[in-house]
Amino acid sequence: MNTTETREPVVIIQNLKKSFGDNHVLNDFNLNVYKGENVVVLGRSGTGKSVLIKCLVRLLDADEGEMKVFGMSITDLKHKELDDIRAKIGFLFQSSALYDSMTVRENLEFPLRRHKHKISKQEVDALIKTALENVALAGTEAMMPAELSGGMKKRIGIARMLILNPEVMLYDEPTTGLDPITGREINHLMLEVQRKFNTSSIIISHDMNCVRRTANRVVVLINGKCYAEGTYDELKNSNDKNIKQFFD
Amino acid sequence: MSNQSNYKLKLGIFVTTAIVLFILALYYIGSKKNIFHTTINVSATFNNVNGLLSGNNVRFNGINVGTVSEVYAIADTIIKVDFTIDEDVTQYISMDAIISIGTDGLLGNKLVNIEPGKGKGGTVQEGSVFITLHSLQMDNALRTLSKTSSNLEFITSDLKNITHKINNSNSLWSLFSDTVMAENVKSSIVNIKMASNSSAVLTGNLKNVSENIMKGKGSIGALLTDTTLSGKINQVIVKLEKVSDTMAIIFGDFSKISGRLEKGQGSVGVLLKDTTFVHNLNTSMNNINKGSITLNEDLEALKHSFLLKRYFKKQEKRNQKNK
Amino acid sequence: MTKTFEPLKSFFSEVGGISIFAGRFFREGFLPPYEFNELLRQSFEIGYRTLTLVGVTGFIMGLVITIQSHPSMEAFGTESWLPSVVSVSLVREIVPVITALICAGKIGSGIGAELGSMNVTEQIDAMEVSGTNPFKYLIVTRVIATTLMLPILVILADTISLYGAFIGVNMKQVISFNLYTNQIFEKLSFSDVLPSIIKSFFFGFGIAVIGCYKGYYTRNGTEGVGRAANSSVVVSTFVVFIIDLLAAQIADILHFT
Repeated sequence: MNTTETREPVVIIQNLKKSFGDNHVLNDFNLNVYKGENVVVLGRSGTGKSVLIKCLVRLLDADEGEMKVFGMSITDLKHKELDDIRAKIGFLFQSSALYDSMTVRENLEFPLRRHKHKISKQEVDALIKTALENVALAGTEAMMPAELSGGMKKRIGIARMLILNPEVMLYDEPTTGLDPITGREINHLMLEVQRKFNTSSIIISHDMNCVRRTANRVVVLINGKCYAEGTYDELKNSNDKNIKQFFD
Repeated sequence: MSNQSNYKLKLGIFVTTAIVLFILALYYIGSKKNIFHTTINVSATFNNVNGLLSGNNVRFNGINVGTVSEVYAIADTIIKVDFTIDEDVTQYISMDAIISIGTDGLLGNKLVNIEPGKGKGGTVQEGSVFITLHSLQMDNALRTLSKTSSNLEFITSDLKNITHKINNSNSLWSLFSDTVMAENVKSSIVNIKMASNSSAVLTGNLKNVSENIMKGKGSIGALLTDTTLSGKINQVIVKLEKVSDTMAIIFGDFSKISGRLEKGQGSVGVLLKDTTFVHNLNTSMNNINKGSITLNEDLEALKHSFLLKRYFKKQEKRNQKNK
Repeated sequence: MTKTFEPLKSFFSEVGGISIFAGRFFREGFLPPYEFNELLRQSFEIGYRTLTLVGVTGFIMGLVITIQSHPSMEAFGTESWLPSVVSVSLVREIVPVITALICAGKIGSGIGAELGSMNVTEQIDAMEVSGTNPFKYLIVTRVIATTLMLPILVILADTISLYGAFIGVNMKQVISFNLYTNQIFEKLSFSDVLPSIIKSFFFGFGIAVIGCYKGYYTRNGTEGVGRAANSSVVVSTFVVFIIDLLAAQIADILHFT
């Protein structure tokens, strides 16, 4: 634990504030994420967990506060620089967000074409092949998202993030809506990715199985603040009523 | 990837078809409006264009040969109309062609009609201007025409009187002694002189008018593309000319008589016995009578011709007011 | 008191929202990068795939208008004017508006539903983090494609409906195709064709902007998608008529009569 903390954090979030009208979903939230670490943000539905990671890639603009990724302040970035940073951040959406009108192959190709303009067809083929192999879905290139199951969609979603070799992974409720077995497969895949590519991850979840399996560190988000922080076991043994409710 | 090029092909065919159709439609419409032909620009002046608009068709003997490009006033009673003529037909259009404004069908658009003239004045060229007569002159001419006709009536009755008296007189003495008669003859002679003068002037005038009508110039001219009407006016003029000719002869005879009568020269017997003269005088009188009757009929017909009705009605009203 | 103004307020904020959206289209639409391939794909989807529907409708309209006009034309003894009268009314008004209404139904709802579902399933967000400006990729391409494709559909529908009218004329009297086309082009002028084509650009623009606006700002999950599709049809149909009214008046002012 100490060894990780001495390193420079990859993601720094300081005093982040975000409100929608009178609803202050994030209120002075602080979080540091270090290299190779899986941080789970635990919180009840509608408490602004997703808002947190959306602010991090500027899908939403924060009201106040500072966010740094790889030492660069996200809030001040120009369009071009923002795109460069985004290429290094993988984002797995809750609904997988595969493009309905495109085949699996086109879905994987999409970020490639966008972030790397000059890339040969052979390179693209090779990258798509390895990306699909990484998520154990080789041979599905020609399928449409509508033909895929929920778990497969998630995995294709992961393959789509991996294809750009991101350094930071953001998972928005990766196991929600999946049966426990598929959820376990996804958890397994997330850990594998972390090990294989040495990525840092922020995982938004309220699925305790997922938290238990994937978390190096757990942050409990209550009332827009970082309420508690610790390993899964530390929090599980906590006597705090607010924390305990997650584990019951 | 073949799928991708396939949709591009379909899209290409789809778009190209539409654009080709559009261009074809524009071309067809344009060819009807003579836009893609080589054309020359000419103009004509009118007194009244009856709502002619730019874009209206120009027809030569009934075929579309151009469009009106601009209509604008250049003076208080003169409207200039610029229009184009297809270059192919310019060789058939001479500068004395009849230009008029007509209507396409009963309710259709206004259009410019070109009917061939006698081929005088050379063929039309770029920038040619067809000059037309103005309706004011036409009005005047018609007014004189009807005045002349009543003058002629008057003369005719005078002459009738004279012949009657000559026919019925027992002796030339009575003719001689009848100083009133002598005065009558004199005044008749003056009348005939005047009438003859004015009808000569009128004849010239009408000739002009009729020529202009034939050319279709002037606002009434524009109305008179109806050839029967202009034909009628022509008839009137021909008759009037005849009458005026005979009158000139009579006038010659009468001035002889009156000269003799005034000077007291020549034997009365000669004059009396000169039945040829009396006979001549009689036939002349008859001719004049007939002429003036048909002339009157023609004028009546002209009056009732629907195109001129309004003009004569107005005149009638004015006359009544004056009375 | 405030409640009575509520519908009015929402109407104006809708109009404002659509105007800002259209303004954003012009701001972003003309700056690179251009999504040319996507534009072609959308043109194909919007133009080519609507042709059958528009073509059949156009044909029926041509046929029906002719059959319906025939009795009254006959009563006035102006049967021979049937081709020219029908063609002018088809080209000037009926075909552009019917085509636009069909596109409002098909394209407007299609765009509304597609973008709506992309929005609620976070595909638009995903696109943005993939380094693609979703506004350019999704909105600009669709708006341009619809704006360009609608006049093309109108031209094709014009042609098909005039053919329908030809058949309609031939049901009551015998007329050769040659005479028919001659009569049509005799009466049709640029001032009939050009304004109708120009206004179809605006129809396309209006339909696409409203469909995109409704889809792009879809809220409330799957229920919102249905509502986006529905209201994009309703509003774009309405806008088609507003544009038509404006076009008729502007054409009148400019003497395109």
